Amino acid sequence: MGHTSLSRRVIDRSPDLAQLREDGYEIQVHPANYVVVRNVPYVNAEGAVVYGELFVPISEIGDNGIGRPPNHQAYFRGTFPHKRAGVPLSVIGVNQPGAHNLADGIQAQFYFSYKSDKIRTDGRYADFHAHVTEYVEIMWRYARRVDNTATPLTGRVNDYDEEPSVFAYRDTASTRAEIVPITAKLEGHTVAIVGLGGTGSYILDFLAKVPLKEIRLFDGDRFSQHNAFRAPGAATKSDVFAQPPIAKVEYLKRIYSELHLNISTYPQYVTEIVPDLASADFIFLCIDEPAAKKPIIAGLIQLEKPFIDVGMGIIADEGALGGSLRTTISAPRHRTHRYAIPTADVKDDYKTNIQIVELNALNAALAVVRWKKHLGFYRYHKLEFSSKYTIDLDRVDNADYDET
Amino acid sequence: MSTEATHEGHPGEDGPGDGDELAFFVNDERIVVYASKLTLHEILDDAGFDVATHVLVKRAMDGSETVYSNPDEELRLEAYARFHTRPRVYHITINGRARTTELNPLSYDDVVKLSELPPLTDGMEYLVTFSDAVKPTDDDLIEGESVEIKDGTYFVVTPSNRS
Repeated sequence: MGHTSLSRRVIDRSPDLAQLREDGYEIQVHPANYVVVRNVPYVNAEGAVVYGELFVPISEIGDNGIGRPPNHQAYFRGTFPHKRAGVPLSVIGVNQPGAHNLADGIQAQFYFSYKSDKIRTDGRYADFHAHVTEYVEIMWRYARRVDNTATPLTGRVNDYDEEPSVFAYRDTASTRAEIVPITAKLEGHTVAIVGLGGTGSYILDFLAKVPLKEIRLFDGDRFSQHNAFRAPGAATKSDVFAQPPIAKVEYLKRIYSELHLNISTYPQYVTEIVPDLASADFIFLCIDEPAAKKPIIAGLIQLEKPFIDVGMGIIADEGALGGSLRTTISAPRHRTHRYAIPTADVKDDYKTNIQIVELNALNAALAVVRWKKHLGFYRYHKLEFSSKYTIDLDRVDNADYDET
Repeated sequence: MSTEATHEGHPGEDGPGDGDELAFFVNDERIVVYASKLTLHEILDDAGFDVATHVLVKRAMDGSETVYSNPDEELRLEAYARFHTRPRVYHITINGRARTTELNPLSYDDVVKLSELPPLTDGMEYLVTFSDAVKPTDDDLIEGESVEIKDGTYFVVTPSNRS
């Protein structure tokens, strides 16, 4: 805490916000990507002047300030504004009745829809200055009639002091979907991915979009031509044919650090628990060689760490492919599984060494969904610790549930 | 519905006197014969089944089963004995390939063997998943478990070691 406030910088670089502050409106940029207007005077149902707060979502926010408001709407914390006692200010309109959880501890009672004559042809206000002043004015004008000293122009400046973000640019997707408090459950964790082949690299793709404190990548392999066909995105020719070949973890870090700023690389094969693996909160094991897993699993169990192990088996026969994708969740209370983790490879493996990119992605997706359930991000009816998807049957089977 | 079949008895045998009427059941249909011993072939003929494609199963009170598959084997008949027919081979699919088996139920080990994947050794694991079995219809097997199959039961048997 105590850094130059990111919110303050955003306001300084956005002419519309800077103007609002100069006018005397008590505005802030909330870390969950809202322009907050405090001390908005309005008339309540009983005819008295009270004060509420407006929250306008931001969808574009970066080093050059913020873009235009994403729509004409605004959230409001307070009671329903009135013209005078008993006469609701119906022109302000209400969308999606019910409370809205905007951020941790912040709940808005209303989601207003007000289009004044200042609205543009695209259905939005010109900028945040117009948006805020129109919403404040439609309530303030009636408050002035009750008390002509009521004003939103307090001139108070009070910016949020926030931790530096783990993202290069802010997650306005969570703001837009009103899931900021749910996404916050994923914050602050350090997750390790051991093995950055097809499945591991897709797990990285998904985790890079999560506000994790740190992502640690362990793999001793080099990135080569055949890897390109099971990695997310499209590798360039110069990356594929680089001499000397690039380490897989460095290649992936280079791409994903465009979004997530805290990715650490360990370009080594893991044969035992190393300190930066032991200190991770959660581990994804995506290792292609079962024999190499044995000491790692033994070490993680001894350290009482939770981890997810994934593995697929694809068989080609009769001119087509079929098989299974396994996701095994190992936690202190579930260390043996119906769909067990193999610790020895299949002999004569020429027939079973097949992986296809969408299967890697699906296995990765199932693993990440299951990890997010562990953190309370996704709901579950029953929490399973063994899971497999069977391609031929298009079926997910689960086993090893918690006792209820 | 009952069928009556006449078979000459063998002189001097134990049991109900040969030439006496004896009723038994195949697939819950009552069959009446005049002998106390018949071959599998004869019994299946009486019941209207082809011995080339069927076997006969007798289920005891304790649930255990005796399977008669040799066409020439003589079965001693008791009054009101209950038999069921069963296909001689089952047509199933494993990993997309058509297979046949006489075994039913199939155990995890049976399925793995039929899949022709490399035999399991210490530390190796195979997932065995099925659909269209008898009971349960859709589930999976681990070591020690079995499933009752029928024609059309579909198995997927794979390792799960690749990432």
